[in-house]
Amino acid sequence: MNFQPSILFSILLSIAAPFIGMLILGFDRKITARMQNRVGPPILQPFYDVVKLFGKSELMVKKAQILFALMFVGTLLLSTVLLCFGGDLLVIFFLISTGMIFYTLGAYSVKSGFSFIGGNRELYQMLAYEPIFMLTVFSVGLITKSFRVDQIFGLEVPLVAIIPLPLVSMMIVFLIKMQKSPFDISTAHTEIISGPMIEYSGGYLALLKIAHWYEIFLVIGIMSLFFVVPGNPVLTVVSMAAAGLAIYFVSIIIDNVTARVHWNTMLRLSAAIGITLIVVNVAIVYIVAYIAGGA
Amino acid sequence: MGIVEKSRLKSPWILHYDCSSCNGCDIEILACLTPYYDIERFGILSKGNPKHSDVLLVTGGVNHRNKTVLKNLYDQMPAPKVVIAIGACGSTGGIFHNCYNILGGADKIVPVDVYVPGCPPRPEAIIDGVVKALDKLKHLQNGTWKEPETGPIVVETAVGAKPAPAAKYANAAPAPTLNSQPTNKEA
Ligand code: SF4
Repeated sequence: MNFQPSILFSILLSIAAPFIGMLILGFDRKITARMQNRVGPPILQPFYDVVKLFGKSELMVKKAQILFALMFVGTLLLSTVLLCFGGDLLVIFFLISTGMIFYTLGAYSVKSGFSFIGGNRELYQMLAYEPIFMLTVFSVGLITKSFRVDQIFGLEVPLVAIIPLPLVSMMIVFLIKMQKSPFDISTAHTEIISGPMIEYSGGYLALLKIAHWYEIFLVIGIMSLFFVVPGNPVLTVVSMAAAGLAIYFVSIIIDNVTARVHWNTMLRLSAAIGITLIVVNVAIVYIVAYIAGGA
Repeated sequence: MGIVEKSRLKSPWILHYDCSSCNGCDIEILACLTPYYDIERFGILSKGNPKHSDVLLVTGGVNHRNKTVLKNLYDQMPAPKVVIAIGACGSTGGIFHNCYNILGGADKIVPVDVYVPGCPPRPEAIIDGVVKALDKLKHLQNGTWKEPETGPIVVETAVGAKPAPAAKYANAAPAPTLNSQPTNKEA
């Protein structure tokens, strides 16, 4: 059975994507504040921040930096549109990686110590999460026999029923991408003062904030693909949204109860837990298929 | 008020610079971040980076060493920006005012918009100072920084402020103020 999301829905979703990310971020700050027994900022706070930043006077360190910021947002925008139109998961993954490379280049393009350290740490983070991300995409590809997102809608059972463990590994990717502790290594606020973003100001900083909204939508979107209920559009939307929010809530709890780790620990954790879980799950799927085929 | 102006009032990001404070004022500023005062509910974040900040908090008197640093930090902040001098030292040099190395308050180097007196000022007074500074930001138009019509604002603190209890509290016992402590003269 093939589920074709209507073109109109895809267009609307790609326009709404950054705003969905923004709202999630707003709720994040509110919920974090409530967990710390504070009142917390209004839900629209990320929006106010960005609008304010666009209203600030221009202060540029280097022109190249701005080019890299624009490319960063551009690639993320492209991958969001691809995701909304049910494109190729592998292409989406590579586009996100390219975007992160632009982000790192932006950090390296200025002569600033903290920016440099931030760039380095961003690369360590990529070293930690890219293999997990890629193997997850591959395992989805193995199950669906295709990398296209819309093929997931044609399966017989939800992906989470066949490969639940990659979802657990993706949690590591999620924490890193959302700049949450224990893996908020590159933007470590009190340590290297938001690292790669340190030399951006005004509207260019706002661009990076918007890029982060896209990232939130993308990573949550990809993770909630595991919860597609085939052949039932209404239930699919409900379960995807619920799963996305649940994943984010878990990440807020982890953020609040852990402290930042050294990048060494991050690499070890992601290799030991993240990759192992995926390999084990794919092996189980194959063994079960072999036994079922042999019997 | 346009959307940019409104957002500006809703998200003031703070840069805190300690000129030569005794750390009393700095601890009070940090107290504002605790759940008890929770300045994040006003969208206030402590950024630690002049390029991201809108509000510069200066504690302590300026000396010959850090006057260039203070000027540098001020120049690196994108407009519109406001400067708040915290404490007696930040405002005038305070008890250090006639030390050989002290130039005076922050206003000797950068234009100060709001003074928050006190030694140290209470966290409430500091929050009040930031809110008053935002009032000045309202005078901005089209994102360009015009000299505000009002001069610098001095925040009223418990010291010397005249209490004006509302009618329904008229019979309540007077709240203890800093004034109720004996001064040196009386002792
Ligand atoms: S005003 Fe008082 S508390 Fe603040 S720096 Fe000066 S001496 Fe210290």
